[in-house]
Amino acid sequence: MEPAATQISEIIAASVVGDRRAQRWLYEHFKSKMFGVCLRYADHRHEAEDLLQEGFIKVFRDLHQFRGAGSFEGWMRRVIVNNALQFIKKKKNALQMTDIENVSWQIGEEDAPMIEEEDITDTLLRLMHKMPTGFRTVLNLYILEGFSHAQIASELGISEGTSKSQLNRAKACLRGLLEKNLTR
Amino acid sequence: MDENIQKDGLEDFLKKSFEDFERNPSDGLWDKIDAGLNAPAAPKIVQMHPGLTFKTWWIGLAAALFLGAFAWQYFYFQEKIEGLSEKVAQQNQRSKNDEINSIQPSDDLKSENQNAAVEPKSDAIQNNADSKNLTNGTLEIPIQNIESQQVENKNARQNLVENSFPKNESGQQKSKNQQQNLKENFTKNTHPNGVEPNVLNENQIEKLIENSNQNVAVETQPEAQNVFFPPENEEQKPIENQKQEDKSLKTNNLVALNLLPSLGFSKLDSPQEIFFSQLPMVKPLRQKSWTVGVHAAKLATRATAEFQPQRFPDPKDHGKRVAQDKAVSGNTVFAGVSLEKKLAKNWSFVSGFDFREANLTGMHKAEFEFRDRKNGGPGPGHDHEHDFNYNLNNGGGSATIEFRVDETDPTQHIDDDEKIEFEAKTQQKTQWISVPLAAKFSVGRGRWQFNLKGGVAANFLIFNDFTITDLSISNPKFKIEPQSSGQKMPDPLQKLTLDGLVSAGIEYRFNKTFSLVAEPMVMTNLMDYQNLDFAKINNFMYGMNLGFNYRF
Repeated sequence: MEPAATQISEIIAASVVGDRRAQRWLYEHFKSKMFGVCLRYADHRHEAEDLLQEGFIKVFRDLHQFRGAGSFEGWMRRVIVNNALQFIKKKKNALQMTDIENVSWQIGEEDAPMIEEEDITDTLLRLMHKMPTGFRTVLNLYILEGFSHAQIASELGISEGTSKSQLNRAKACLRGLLEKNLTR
Repeated sequence: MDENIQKDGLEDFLKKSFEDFERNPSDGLWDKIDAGLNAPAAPKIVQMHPGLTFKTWWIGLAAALFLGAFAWQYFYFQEKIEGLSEKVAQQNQRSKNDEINSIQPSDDLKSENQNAAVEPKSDAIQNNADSKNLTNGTLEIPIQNIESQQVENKNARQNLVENSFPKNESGQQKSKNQQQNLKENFTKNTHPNGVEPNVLNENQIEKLIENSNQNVAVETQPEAQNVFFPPENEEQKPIENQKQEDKSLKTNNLVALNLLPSLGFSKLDSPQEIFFSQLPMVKPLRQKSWTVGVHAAKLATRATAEFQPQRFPDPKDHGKRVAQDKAVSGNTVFAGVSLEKKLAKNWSFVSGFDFREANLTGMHKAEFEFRDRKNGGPGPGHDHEHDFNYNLNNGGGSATIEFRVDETDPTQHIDDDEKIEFEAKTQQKTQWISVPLAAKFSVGRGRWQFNLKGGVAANFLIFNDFTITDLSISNPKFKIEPQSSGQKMPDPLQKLTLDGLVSAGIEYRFNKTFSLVAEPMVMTNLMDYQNLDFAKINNFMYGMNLGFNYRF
């Protein structure tokens, strides 16, 4: 059952002053959604958990900056995404320009169970993990987060043209991955 | 799904697939988050923004190289132009002296003519002939009296040279004609009013010609001998002796005369050769246009932070309070060398190299309430210890300081709205290498000169130390734990900054070389010393600069 907005506000206020029970409540309430976000940006599950841990610590430390202007979930999601982007930018050559030729098209035996036996979103996620980090990041930001190319360029420190070309390549890459692996 | 992944539907397919995508992390993750939140963050130092970026360095370096190349080119060509101007002036002066040489008779001739009825055309020569110089056996013709004669003399010399070298003549005939022309021209030139031509007999004129040739040896310096080829049968005499012997060369411009070779017209084909062959003999007179100096200045300094309200955290926001009075003050000391290049009559370009040290202190107050405690409750391990975060932002820098207070009486009751005022004293020491680039305007008479100077100073940070020297609390119900004081902060200052400077002062010249300068000056920052987007730091300095200059 979803808590009322006033309840959320009270819990946030308590979390701001360091109430650990309130913070735990917020964590439990949003951990699944935020972990789903982290999984899309990370290369693997372990890395996603690291991102979630760092992200929640930042959420609680910066909670006093939340003005209540928008939804709390949206604000928290933005903090988590920003933290993930910072992590990606620190990774050496993570955002370097990549071509489709460098993509390993087939999901290996060790990668996952057969597609027919799993949730389609998990399959999509595992295929996205096969994509280069740059492709995956631009795809996430543009399609799933709703960023403009200008925003992506600003966030990642690349040009708008690069963002557009990376997105086109990412979509072609994902399309190819889906076509090849659906036929297995 | 095949339909969904078609070209136009891929984005929608992805959005729908991840719309409610949720997965559970490992069970133990909260414990890690909890541990992370409990991790000691004191003193948590927040560097709001990165310092100088790589890009900024390259822009600064490129600008410095451009300015350096521009300045070098300017000075190089300026010096060339000045040198040429001096040569032209020397050449003009030498031309005047040449005219004098061309009409100076020898001692022998003068002694023979002492009783002769010589009447020069111009008053200048007449006055000179009547003067004691003639009675002493020498003919001195001051330069200032010969101006009116110069035009005629020049024409005479022109004719003399041209007539001496008629084309297609044999060597012997040429020599004979040369001597004849010399006689005629000299007589015509020195006695233009039709004075008896037989006043000078044949022998006297011959001696005059010989003397003219001797003058070549007298004034031709060793380097010039290769150019002018003195007569083969004439012994080359030491220059000093020759000068002593040739009393007839006395003029009022002896310095210039010594620099010049005489006219070896017997070997020259045209007057133009005289000009070009004499150029290497000219020693340009160098002006004193460079100045080096040492100087020191002590400036009162005040740095104030102006905060941008829309970017600054709300002072009443949870858990953190921000002191808004952010002025720091102290002294800045300069010491270094200066280099000055005179560009025009009143204008100079000034640069140099300074070591600069600033010592600034500040006192900052921040108001808290008891509810502003970190985590909203007592610190870990003790019910009567409480942690607070203090966002200190001032003209010296910014930091978040975490400190701990103890309750003085554990039995007392403290409400959440209990007021607590903290006071922090800070000390900052910065050291810079400073390079001024300024224009100087100077006017003055005699030994005193007034200078007005304006420009910029590029400062390169080499050291920064910021210390919380004291932290106190005003509420008697609490006391600060000793270890909470004295936290240092990282370097939030820009590595490269730019200041504007203006000074107006006086300069006293002991002589042509040394001088003493005293100039009040003001400086202010043109770039923020800190790279903060929520605050603007204003630095203002004023004081006195004293210097000692050497011109060369």
